[in-house]
Amino acid sequence: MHYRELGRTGLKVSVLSFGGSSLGGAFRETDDSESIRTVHTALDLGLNFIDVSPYYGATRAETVLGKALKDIRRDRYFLATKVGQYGHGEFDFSAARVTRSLDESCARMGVDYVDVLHCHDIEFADLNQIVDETLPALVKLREAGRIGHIGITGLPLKIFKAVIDRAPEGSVEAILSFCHYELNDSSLESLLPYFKSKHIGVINASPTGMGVLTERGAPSWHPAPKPIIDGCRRAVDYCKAIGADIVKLAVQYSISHPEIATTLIGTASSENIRKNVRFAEEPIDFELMARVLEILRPIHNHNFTRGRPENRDPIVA
Amino acid sequence: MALGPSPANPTLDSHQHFWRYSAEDYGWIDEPMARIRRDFLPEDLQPNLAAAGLAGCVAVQARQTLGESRWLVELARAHPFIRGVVGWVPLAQPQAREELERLRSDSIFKGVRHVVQGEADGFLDHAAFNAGIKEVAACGLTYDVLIFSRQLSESLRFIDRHPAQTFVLDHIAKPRVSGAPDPEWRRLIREFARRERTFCKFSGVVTEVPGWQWTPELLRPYFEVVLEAFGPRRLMFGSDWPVCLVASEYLAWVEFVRDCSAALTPEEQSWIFGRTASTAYRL
Repeated sequence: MHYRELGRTGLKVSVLSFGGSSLGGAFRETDDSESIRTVHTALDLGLNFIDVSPYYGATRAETVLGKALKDIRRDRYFLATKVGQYGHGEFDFSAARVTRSLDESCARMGVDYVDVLHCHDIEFADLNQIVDETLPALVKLREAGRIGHIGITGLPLKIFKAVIDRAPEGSVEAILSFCHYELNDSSLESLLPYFKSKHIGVINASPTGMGVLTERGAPSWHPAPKPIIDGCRRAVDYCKAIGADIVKLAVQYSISHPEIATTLIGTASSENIRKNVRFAEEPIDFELMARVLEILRPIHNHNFTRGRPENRDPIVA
Repeated sequence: MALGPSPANPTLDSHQHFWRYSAEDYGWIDEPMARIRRDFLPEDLQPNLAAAGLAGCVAVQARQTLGESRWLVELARAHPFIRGVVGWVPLAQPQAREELERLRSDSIFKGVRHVVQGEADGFLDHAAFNAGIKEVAACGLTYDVLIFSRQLSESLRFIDRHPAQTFVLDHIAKPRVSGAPDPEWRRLIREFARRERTFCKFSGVVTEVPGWQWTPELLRPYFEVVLEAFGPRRLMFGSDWPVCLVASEYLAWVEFVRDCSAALTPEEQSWIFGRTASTAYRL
């Protein structure tokens, strides 16, 4: 496993990290004992960064993670969770709520400290509130030593600059982006020089675009429009026909960018963790990658967006 | 056997740049380099080539735009002494193949380069960039490796991934030129040279001397290292004009490299001053 610095946080994180959304049953029905084994496998294989949220599985993911971490030394992993999103369409980014939220998350996970606390999916929030109220509350928690670092997450790319440009320097130290650095969409790249200039660490999630680049395909709730789903399907079918694993290619693609510190892998299966770690270590078939990128070219950087109207990205189609 | 220069075997400067200067496009040209804050066009280079007895040159990208690549091709078409163009395409982007095909439809377009020295450590492991290099190989073009010496080890991994690709190492990998050559740089240069499809340019060295105060005695050991590693048939003279002008006149640099090569046979000299470039770039 390779490790990279997460911005200026001082956290040296594994290029593959553990995405805890899967523990809440986001992608399929999960079995908690298998989930716990998966966390242990991830740590044993050198993944040292775990990402979760009270939103995943309506607190279930944090609770299961708490069980998994019970007998694990706290210095074996970095832990990130989130505040502000609690149920479907249920958001509260007030200072009081996010402060209480950290206490609840820590209690569920049996820890007294998290390394990174993110404002979760801020495209659904009033960004003025994030800048004027939520981030100052998190800065207080950081000053009090309750959290190590502060991050923001969301799907539209425009939210990051919108907040970072207005927040006091150093308040935001990391961002978590998803579905924008994968074989069919590398639009996150356009922001990497900006993040670098601000010393902000970059966390990427969903190397398979939340399932579009897998043989199983996108789950029913997937927000991508049909042309993206179909375009990705062509790449999946191509790989399948020649006996190649598109997930391997997708993981290798996402983790190879030197300016992206880590990529979250969401799975609740030990076998999948092992497989992903193997993918990360195996040589890349660049000829195949060139062919697959060519197949995906008609939909490259095509996107979907969400959030309050003012926080949405322009649609590329 | 043709030993000296001849029309079929021209003497060449394997590495120079052209630009129309603007502060915006050439922000890296800072105050101490004020001397090169102006246009440098073929008519500026031509008298230098003539004075040095060189018949032609290879024009290399400086700006990382497709527009510049096309412009260099146009210049080469208007000025026959420009024997080849090494341009830039967005290799990490899906349109890499299409752009490579479009550019190489003019046979003067010989290769590509990316300013890797300006990228983060680990850039050469970047998957999309490596996929782009496969397209370069498929198009039969060369790739110029522009790195600092600290990037030499990642460049070895990179080269090993692309056995079908011809690589040209620019500026002897830009070691810090002060005192005797760093043994680690020398070791990695030898490692690089062990890869058969690689070539090296002895160019851009004067500007790696802190303060640009160079003497032949300081630089000669660096020449010896790359000569020993690559041999004359894989080593090429380049000027890096007009960048070199901040530290050396054109002619002074050419004469220094000629002095370094003086003990070699005329045939070996003809490789360093043209035939290696003709081979590497298929001029």
